[in-house]
Amino acid sequence: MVFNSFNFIVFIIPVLLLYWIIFKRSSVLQNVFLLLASIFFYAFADWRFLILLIASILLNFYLGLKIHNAEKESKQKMFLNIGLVFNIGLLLYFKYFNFFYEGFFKALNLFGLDSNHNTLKILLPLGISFFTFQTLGYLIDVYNEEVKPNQNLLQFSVFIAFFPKILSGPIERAANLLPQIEKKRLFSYNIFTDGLRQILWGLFAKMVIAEKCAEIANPIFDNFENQSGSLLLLGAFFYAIQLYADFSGYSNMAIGVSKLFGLQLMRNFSTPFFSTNISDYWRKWHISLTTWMMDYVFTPLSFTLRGYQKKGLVISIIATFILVGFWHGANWTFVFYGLLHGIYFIPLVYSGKMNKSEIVAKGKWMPSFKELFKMLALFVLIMLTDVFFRANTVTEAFNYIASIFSYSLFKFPNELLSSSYIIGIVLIAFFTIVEWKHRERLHDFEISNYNIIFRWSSYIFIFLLILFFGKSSETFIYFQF
Amino acid sequence: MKLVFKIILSSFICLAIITFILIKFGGQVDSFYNKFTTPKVSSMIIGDSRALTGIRPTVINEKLSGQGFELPMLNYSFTIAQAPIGPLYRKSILKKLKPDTKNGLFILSISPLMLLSDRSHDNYKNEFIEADLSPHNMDFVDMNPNYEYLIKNYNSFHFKAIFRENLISQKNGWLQDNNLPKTKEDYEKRRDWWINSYSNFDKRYAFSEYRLASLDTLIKTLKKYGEVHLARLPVDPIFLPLEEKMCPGFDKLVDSLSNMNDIKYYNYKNTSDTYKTLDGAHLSKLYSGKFTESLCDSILKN
Repeated sequence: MVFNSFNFIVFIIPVLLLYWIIFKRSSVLQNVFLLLASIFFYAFADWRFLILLIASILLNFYLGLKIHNAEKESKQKMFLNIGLVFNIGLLLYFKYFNFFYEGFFKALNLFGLDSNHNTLKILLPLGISFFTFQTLGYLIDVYNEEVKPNQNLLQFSVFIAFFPKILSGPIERAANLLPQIEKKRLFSYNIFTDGLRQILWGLFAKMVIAEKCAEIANPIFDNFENQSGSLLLLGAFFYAIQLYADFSGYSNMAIGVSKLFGLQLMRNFSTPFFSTNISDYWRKWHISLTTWMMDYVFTPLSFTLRGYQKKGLVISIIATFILVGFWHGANWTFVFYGLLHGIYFIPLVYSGKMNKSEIVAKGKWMPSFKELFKMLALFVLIMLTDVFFRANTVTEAFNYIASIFSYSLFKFPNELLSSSYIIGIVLIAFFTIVEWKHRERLHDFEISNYNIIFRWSSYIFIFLLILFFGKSSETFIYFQF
Repeated sequence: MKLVFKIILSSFICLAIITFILIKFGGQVDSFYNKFTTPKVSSMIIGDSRALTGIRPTVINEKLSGQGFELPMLNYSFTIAQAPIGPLYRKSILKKLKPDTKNGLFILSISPLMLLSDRSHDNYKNEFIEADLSPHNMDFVDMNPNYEYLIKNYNSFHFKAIFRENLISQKNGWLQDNNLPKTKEDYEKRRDWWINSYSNFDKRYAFSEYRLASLDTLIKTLKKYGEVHLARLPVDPIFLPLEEKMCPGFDKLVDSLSNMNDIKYYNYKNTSDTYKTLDGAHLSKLYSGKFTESLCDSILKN
């Protein structure tokens, strides 16, 4: 059941009515109801792994308490390690087993040890990368005494299984979400309407922008051997926008739906293409994953390697980004994607500009030429790197990029004059302008301060765009992760 | 209270826009929507996309009025993906049929493709490729505006088609395809696309005895409500060997079925010189009227 489906409308309306009318009296009632709704939501998507989710909740809840209550440091570490082995083990088995298994046999073949093998047919539980990272973060936070362990199984279960974020994030942190779950939620008109606005913008991003870009990019990628360099460049452009609109659209919907229940999830995207360097970009792209990796991988690793100074920092960044890439899937393309992003940080490390982050053209209508040039250059770099994200193999990605940089790059792509491309570009331009206008706000469609006529005209206009140009695909790119 | 009012108001605005489009442009935004908005009928054209574009109810209503048939006619044809012969299509036809019909007219346009089934499906175990598509996913087939159709088949809607008139589904079910080939090359390009599709059909689909038996059941069922006539529509000769390969001896099978049921089979497969198609497989709107007249003449003769 995805947010942009009629099934979800049928699900969410009664759930919201019951939540705010019948179950509003106490936080316990609210949490019981949210948990039941979340279990139904997850089971509706794929009931086969419900037991796994429940087992993960129970074990991590128990381990959190054990870590906190253990008197000796060694005992605390032992319980943490059990949690790490369990959670990472789940991921390794369900997501990466075949990758390593095949790699092992390929390595044997290299040494002439020919062997026949069949990969296992392992189904990937929905949302496993997201809820596993959330539980891992929780256990490490408890161990580091960053948060106190939650003593209430009901609250902890809602923290892990809360349905708007279970399938595709954001990867929530205990310090942000648990305190909200512990308290009784009071209905707020402003939060509720803001949630609706965010859902509308998410729907537009997914159903119009991402689907339109997919319609253009898919045939180019599927038949890239026979396309001109200029068309391949366009394919990479549309795919980069598709990836962003698909995932940021989903995140906006998830955060918006969550607000309808009075719970504020963390921001996951903050107009990342309006960045002037790669470090700034990653502070704005999939923020919940990036901050998770920074806190639990990069920071301890760079601390360990601090003796090596800038070299140690570079190694830490590259290792972290390889993990970021690998988190996305068991394929060398994702490893390469992460590796390249890590490498892009090297000039920043050596020039000492890694921590510079600011809103581009703050308080101004337009960026300066220098800022515009930097943004465009960064976008082209990211767009080309995204080819690894889309390709089936690393070789395919290299071939795609090599084919872009051929003489045919200077051939005008006639497709650009077709109505489909023109409509796509006009829609992307509109999307970009709205995002640029709201880059300093709390989300991309935060228009609460505009007058009522402008607001309502905007809602109707976006509704019409969805109606006329939208497609209702039931898949999101990030569902596979 | 303010929020409830605003939610109701915004829902009403959205619904009003959608309803306006469905009522005013229903035939443009979806090729099948109109079929589910008209009242139940006593006479129908049944078939795949060849019948959908090739047989015009208005011509039949004119030519056969006063002949004792319960007219008007509705073109209740769909695409080959939606409406191969089978129990699901029969069920949908019966939903759209007035139950008290006595002298209905049923023109059953039949082609070899309508007797194919996905190789991975066992029809005898109720496995049908068309199961989730319209018209089989519809409970209400005579509701205007039909929100059930919108909800269940949202992905087949093209709302921006209100700005163009390439395909217009008339209220009587006939699909008017205005996108005619401009040159011979254009025609050949479209025809080649179909040839390519046919070769893919061949890999994925195979002749189904079950569907043939269903055709017999459909004929027998419809005969209870009136006269049944079978027709095979004109196609470019290039398709005929391909169709023979997919369903060997198709004409003989249909001939024996029509003899068994004492009904007529009009085979127009070799008449594409007289009745021209726009892509090799579908009659052009410029010839569909003439073809329907000829079909009516054949019915009158018998």
